[in-house]
Amino acid sequence: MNSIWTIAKREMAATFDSPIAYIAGSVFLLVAGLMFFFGIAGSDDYFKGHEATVRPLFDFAPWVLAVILPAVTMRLLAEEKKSGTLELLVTLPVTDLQIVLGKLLGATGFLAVTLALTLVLPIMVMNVGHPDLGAVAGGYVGLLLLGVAFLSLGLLTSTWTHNQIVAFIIGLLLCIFFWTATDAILHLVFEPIPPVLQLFNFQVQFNDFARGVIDLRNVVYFLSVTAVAVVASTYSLQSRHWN
Amino acid sequence: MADTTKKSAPLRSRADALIMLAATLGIAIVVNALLLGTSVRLDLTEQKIHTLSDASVTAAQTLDDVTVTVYISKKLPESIPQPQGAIALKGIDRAFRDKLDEYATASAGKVHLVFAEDNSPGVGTVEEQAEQAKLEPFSSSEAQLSGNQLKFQKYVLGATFHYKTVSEVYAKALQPGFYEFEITKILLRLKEKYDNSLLMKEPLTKGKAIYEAVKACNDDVQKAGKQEGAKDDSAGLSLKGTSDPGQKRVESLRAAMATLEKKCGPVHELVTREGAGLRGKNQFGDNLIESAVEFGKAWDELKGALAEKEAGEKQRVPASLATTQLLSILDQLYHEVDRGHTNLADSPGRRQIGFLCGHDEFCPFPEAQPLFQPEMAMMLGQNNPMSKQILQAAQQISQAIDETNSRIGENLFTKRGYSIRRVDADTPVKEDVSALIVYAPRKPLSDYERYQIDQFLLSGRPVVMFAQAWQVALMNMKSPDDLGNDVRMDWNELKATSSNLTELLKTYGVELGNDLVLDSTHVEPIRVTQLVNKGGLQFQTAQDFPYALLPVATDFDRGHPLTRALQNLPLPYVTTVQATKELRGDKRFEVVDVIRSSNTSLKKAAPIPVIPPALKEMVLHTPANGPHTLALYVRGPFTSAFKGKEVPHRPEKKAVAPDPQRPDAGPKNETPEEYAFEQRKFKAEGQGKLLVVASNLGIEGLSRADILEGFDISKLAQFNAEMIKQYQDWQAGFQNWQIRIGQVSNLLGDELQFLANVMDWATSHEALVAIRSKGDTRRPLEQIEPDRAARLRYLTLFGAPLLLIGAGLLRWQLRRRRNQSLKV
Repeated sequence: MNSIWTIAKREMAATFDSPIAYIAGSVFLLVAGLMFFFGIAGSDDYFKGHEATVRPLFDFAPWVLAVILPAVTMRLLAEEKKSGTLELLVTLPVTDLQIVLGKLLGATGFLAVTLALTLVLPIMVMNVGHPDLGAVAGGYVGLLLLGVAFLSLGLLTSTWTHNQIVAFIIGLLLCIFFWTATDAILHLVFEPIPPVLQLFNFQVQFNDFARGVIDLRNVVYFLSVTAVAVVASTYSLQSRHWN
Repeated sequence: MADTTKKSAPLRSRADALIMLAATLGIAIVVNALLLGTSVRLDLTEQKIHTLSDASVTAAQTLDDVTVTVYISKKLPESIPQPQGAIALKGIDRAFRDKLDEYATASAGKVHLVFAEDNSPGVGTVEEQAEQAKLEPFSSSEAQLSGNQLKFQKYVLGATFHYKTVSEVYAKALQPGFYEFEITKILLRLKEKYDNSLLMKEPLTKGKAIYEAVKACNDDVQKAGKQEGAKDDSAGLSLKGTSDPGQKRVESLRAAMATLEKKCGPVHELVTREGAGLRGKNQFGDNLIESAVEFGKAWDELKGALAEKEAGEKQRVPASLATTQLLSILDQLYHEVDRGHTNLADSPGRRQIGFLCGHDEFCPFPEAQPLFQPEMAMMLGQNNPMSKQILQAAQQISQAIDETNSRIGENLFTKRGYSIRRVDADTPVKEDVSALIVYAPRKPLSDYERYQIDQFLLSGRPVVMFAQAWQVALMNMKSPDDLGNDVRMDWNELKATSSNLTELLKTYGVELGNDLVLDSTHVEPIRVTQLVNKGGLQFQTAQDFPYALLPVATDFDRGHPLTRALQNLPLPYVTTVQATKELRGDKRFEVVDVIRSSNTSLKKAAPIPVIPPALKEMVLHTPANGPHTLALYVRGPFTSAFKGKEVPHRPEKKAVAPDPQRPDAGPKNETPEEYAFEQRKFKAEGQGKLLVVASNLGIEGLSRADILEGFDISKLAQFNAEMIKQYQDWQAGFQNWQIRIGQVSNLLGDELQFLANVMDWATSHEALVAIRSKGDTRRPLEQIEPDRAARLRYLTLFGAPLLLIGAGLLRWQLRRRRNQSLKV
């Protein structure tokens, strides 16, 4: 556990030493804020909606996270591979799983800081109304779980290549796929989609959080996706031994 | 520490890794699949809106054995269009299933769920099964081209609930926020319905017999009407050579006449026989009989039309045309019979809510009497064609008013399961009315009418009064003036109504104020539509203005079921209401300030400007003096307002000869109820429940007397130019009602929810009130100045990114200094 924590701290420090954290974080905050206040088309006005709610944040933030988080994870292992520091890392007394978990935890730290900064939105809403704080808390728990799932997918793509851009693009496609495209693709094959396969849709799983409900099924789902991606990342990392 | 010092052996082959990965994936899928059937949830919302309340759990456990058949289309659309905006449906099927599962779990095995399967053998698609079960389908905005027609795909999401011999339908389950309310309402209703259906067994059986006879007849007639190529050898008719489809239909019906007569002939007799035991016992039963009688007459006409040619009579209307029309009429009448039967079957245990009518109040019923007798119109038309035109126009407006009121009654109340009844208080209020709503009368009530309300209150049944002391006209229409100016679209006025509720309420210790309550902060916007001239073109624009005359109440009594779970409620054009010191000091009474305005509200007497900028200016310069009570509840031993006074007499009915059709009429030709009421002893004191809301909730009454003010058919005999002006006034009056409703249309959702809560409370369904309020999750923003809104927006928008960038720069500076010190 200590090793994971050490790697996580190192990773988080590296993330915040690099300008990418600030660029990605600022872009996330700015775009999520713009969408919150003006809607996706830019023509709405939050204050004309007459509703003291943070729901627009939970409607739009997942889209932005699906784009921003692969940008953060793209360098986690791809950069280490490219610069050769991965070899140095694996000589340390840590398992591949600990490396992956440490990296994921470090990136989660960045996610948590970024999400914490969006708290200005509910604070602003509390200034002009009485939002349901329970629903707000539920939405943030959902964003955190969803974000970690995105990070784990991004981390997985980072293990596949030396090239950060390639890792970013594949990570982005994977996140967008899980967030939105699953339904359309599954409908091509199944009619109706069996309930088990409906599990693949992140949006359906996230909706309950945004309403203020923490459902065990949704929590387990996001943790399952993360677990599978972590295991896959670990074996992907181990694949260097196979050659 | 073992994990940091000892490295586990990595998997040496791709196959091993793939097996391990597949195993992980399999475990994940199995765990998730196993969890699909569970419902372990943490509801973080403040009012636990996603958790079943105790009342719902009790309702589920009270019934012995309920079967819920669930109909869900296999593929629901992403969203569906609605007048108030598209409704997103993503994940809604799961939310509906989950909610029903919660009930099944909470019922301890008493509620069973059955899911309608698509294309089960012999039953068709889920949508077809749902339609058979009387579930109303809905469609999305996506249409498919079928031949040369656009067809909208039909979807269903709902359920039927069966308990012993009764059932209820939840047709369109499209609002997850209200699932609990709707399902609990149905469960409570099933119990009441079953218990009362045992007492109403005979009328229900008779109603069913009539319905089934009419249905069998109509089914066969419509079927025969469609069999255009059918032959009937016994009649010796051949259809060969006939190409006109109408004529074919006639021939087909003639051919099947013997069979049809067997089915349809007994309808008359059955209606007379069974109707005798049903008539007068239930208003829906009466409606059913009336429709069935009309159906019988239409069948006779159809028979006559088909027989004319055979009898060799000269036909005025071609038989094919008459037959087509009569087939359509028969089908319409069958649907009326069907509706009447459904209402009758639904009626056991349903509590009637009376709406007082006749004083320009909100009265969701058509007028009881026609505007004028058709014979009068014919006589006038012969004398003066212009008078006839004015008369026709007045008739059209009158019909539009009746249709609007009927639609409001149907859509707002009947379709939502309420049983409402028109109360004209110049005749006694019926015994089966369990609560009376006096909804913002704008004209004075007569002594006799007030006496009726008084005695109703003292009988222990709840009386709810909504008041409307002022009428606000903002950017309304005004017909041309005498100088010949055009129709004005900017008529603004604040006018006192001539309601005399104040006098009646005062006798019960309730003082209804005459001041208007305004608010500077907690307000809703008003939507003003204006005509704008630009570039020679005229077009309409709608703009929202924060409007102090639409204050939002935020202070509620949490002990009262009506407001226990309410968060806020806009109360348009509200005045104050308070209890007198004597009433408050009387320990026998329970007096509750149910709704109060905010601290930033103020009470002000007229004159008050109604134009938004002027009103805003006035409010800004007037100190707040709130909070004020806007709704008051009083329960206790009321003393009659007529104690010690002469009891008013019922207005004399016109002297008419005794009606042979009504042998039960009283000596003055009264109905039995009227006679019984007259004989009833005056009640000087009695336990009562009175709720007074000092606003009309923005739902302004649409009455013929108000819109067609000054209509007098006798004056139309001599036509003059004044009548044109009067006609324009009527039109403007009707349009102004629409304008005023449109201006507060954004509030109507909240207002109607509150009104439904009032009706549930009044009919002793208090548990439902709190559950419905849970579903109403709207939390309005305070109205803030555009400058403040802009400041907040930009501070929030740029604050957080700047903070992050600032932190980054600071961290970079610190690192640079540390690196420099290391170099040194």
